[in-house]
Amino acid sequence: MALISRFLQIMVFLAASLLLIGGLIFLWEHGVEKPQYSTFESSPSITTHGVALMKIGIALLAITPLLTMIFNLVIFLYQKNFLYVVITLMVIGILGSTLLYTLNKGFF
Amino acid sequence: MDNWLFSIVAFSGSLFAGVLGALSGLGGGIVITPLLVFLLGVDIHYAMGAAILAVIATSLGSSAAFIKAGFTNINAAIFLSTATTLGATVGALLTKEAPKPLLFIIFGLVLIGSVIQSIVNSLSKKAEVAFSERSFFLKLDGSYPQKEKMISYKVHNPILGWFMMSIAGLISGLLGIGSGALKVLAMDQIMKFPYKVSTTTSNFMIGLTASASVGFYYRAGYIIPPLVMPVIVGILIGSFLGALLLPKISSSKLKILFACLVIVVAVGMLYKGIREWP
Repeated sequence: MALISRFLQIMVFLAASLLLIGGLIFLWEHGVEKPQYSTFESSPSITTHGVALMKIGIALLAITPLLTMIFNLVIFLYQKNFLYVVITLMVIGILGSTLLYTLNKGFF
Repeated sequence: MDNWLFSIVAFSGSLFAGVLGALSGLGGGIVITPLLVFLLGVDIHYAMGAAILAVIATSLGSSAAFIKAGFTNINAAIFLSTATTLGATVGALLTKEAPKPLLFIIFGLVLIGSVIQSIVNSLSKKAEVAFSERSFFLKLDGSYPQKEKMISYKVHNPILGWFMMSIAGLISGLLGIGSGALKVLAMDQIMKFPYKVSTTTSNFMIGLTASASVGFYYRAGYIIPPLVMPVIVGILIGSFLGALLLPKISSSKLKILFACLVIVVAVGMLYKGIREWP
């Protein structure tokens, strides 16, 4: 449990750092431009190095819950708690398929 | 307004939301979307994209401490997550089709419901003793530390709780929030978890639930990195500060302050939804 706790802290810190660094690079390059977030268009085109870093940070946040579940799966397997192996696999299946759905589009 | 000013305002607002969210126990994620919509004129879909990631970040960050302290019931979180992630998947698929004014109205109602739930919760002093009625094969019963001894508890109505959780998941996917209030309601009232266990376990589940929607939000184009950045950094620093301040500040007045703020925001969301109704 202490390991899961440490893992969560590290992932959140890493994701936030990547977002911050990427964001500062973005602001350095595009800081004086006007943001266009008031009307929705399904694919606004912003591409800089900063955005790529921020996307990695976002991806880390998005996959951390799934990784935590895989971690728990290993623990349940080790404990031979097969009821919870099955239940955890169900959660992994749902989370994994929604994330794969995204990759299908091409993350970058 | 240029990107610099925009980021600074979004950062400050999220920081404030994070501090108040941690101090009041309501979670700051729920006010991120209204904040971006009303303060910065962001489209609700983009705002939801930023908010869902803010919800994941704060849930994971605070879960780290709760899991270590032994309050979180991991078995229950995983069992009930089969319901919330399924619900969130359906909600995230529906939100693309739902008319925006409807999203505003549901959002307003959920905000009001969350405030009522948190007030009722803080008024009712629950006896934190062991529950005993029936135990069952799902191994959801557990124990948690209090004053250097372990208090054990038994869990009720797992099936009804599961259905309630799938509704909480649906709302989460539909609006881009954690729907922690609904989760706590299901665990407290239906499943009879002790208060500390239900709040911390629901907090852990919020991140799991939200991560089921992220894929769909990303694919639909809701997630804009330069908008997400100041929100995440702000709310994380804010909730960290809030957790530090918590022992030094009486939270009951703050809870009322935050509740009033959320009610104002809720009325704003309802008004916008009704005014723009086709």
